[in-house]
Amino acid sequence: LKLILKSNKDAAQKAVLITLLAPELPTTDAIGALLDEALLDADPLVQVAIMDAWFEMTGDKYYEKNGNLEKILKKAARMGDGGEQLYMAARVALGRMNGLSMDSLDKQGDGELVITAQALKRRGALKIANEITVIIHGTWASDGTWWRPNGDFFEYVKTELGRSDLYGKPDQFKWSGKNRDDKRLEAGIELDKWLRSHLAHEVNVFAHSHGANVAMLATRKGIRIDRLIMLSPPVRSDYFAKWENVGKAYNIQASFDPVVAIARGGNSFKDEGVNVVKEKTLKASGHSASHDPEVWQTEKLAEFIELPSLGL
Amino acid sequence: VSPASAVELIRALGSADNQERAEAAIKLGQQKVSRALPDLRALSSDEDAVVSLAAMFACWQLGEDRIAIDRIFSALNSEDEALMQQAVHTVSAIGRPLVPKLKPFLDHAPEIAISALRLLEEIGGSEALDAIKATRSTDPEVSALVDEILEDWEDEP
Repeated sequence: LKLILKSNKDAAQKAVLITLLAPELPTTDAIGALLDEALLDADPLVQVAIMDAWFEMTGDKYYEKNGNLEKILKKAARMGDGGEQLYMAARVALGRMNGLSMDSLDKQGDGELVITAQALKRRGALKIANEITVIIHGTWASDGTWWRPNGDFFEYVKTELGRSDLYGKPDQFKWSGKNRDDKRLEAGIELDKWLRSHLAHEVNVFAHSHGANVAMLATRKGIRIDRLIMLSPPVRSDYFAKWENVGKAYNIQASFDPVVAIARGGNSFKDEGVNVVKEKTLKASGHSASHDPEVWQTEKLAEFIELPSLGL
Repeated sequence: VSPASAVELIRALGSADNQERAEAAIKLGQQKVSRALPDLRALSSDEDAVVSLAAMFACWQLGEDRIAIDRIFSALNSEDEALMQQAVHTVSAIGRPLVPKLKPFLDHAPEIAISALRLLEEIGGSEALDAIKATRSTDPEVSALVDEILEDWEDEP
């Protein structure tokens, strides 16, 4: 819920997600406080979703006691063009609270405008995963194998590190791998979108080389990465993450890496004044060492990143 | 760099250890130790591709413009991903001065022309764009790549 509320999604997307999430939310004081706080400065469409979510969760018209939904409904009606979606959402929510059936509400709707009603109908269709782990390749490695299912590092993370949540479906995230700033920026935006369409309560990312910079750029778009494990990233301040969107960050560098040396990058965040990244220099050398399962075993990198195993 | 460390780095160019040679080459280039140029020039034909590329890059940093494109091509087509990435980053770091050197390869066999096209795309800029547009190969794979690059080309990649 926090993720949704803080995200950069537009109000309509947030409203749908809140509506979909409502049946899964516990009715705790913490959730109530979160909704209270969110309601203060939310877009009216999100406010409607919050009020409706609370009703869904508790059967209590708490937020409606002051006629808030009616006020929004009237305001939306006055807005004319552009207020249709808000009007429909408020009407659907108010109707539900007053015991109207979903079918009768839909019949009053107008095509796409019944987005919230449609979302309500899909309740239960969306399951938010507890955790997701993804691997992001680096420059000119979109055709590589190590980061895909059956690739050595992929299988190592899945089986040896016990990350059964490692994402390996055909729509696994990949980017062009082109060695250009604009392409990395583009990839950061795409990764942000990808992670938002693969919602999970906790996000773990292993990212190699400039893939780590892509992941950091994605956090600037608002997505949160709980564990960002950067493998041989060329460390450049122009790519730094929005650190408040990163839980724990790790930087694993080879003892000597010609690629990092040539790629206009440093190898330490501390050298750039960033102290939130836990760093380790390997005994092994070379740009691929940091995603070599053998190196992971001999240099005990699983212990370094403190990533718990989910079991097989 | 102090004279003593420069001497040590130059000495390391003769090490039996590939990593030491490559590391010394890169450091000498970064620290602009121009008296290392003759040794670096010799090292640019080292049998180890990582060392050879590192030495070439160092030579370029010291003002030498004899870049062995064939070495870069072979690294680019290597199955060793790290070596391939080293080649790409070397080309990107050197950038536009490589465009005239790459142009003649656009008329070579398709696999060479494809490598040259991909490198020109990495380098970017109007000169690279003109070179890509002037590709004369009629090979379908080369033509398809030219179309793909031009389609993807933004104002100033």
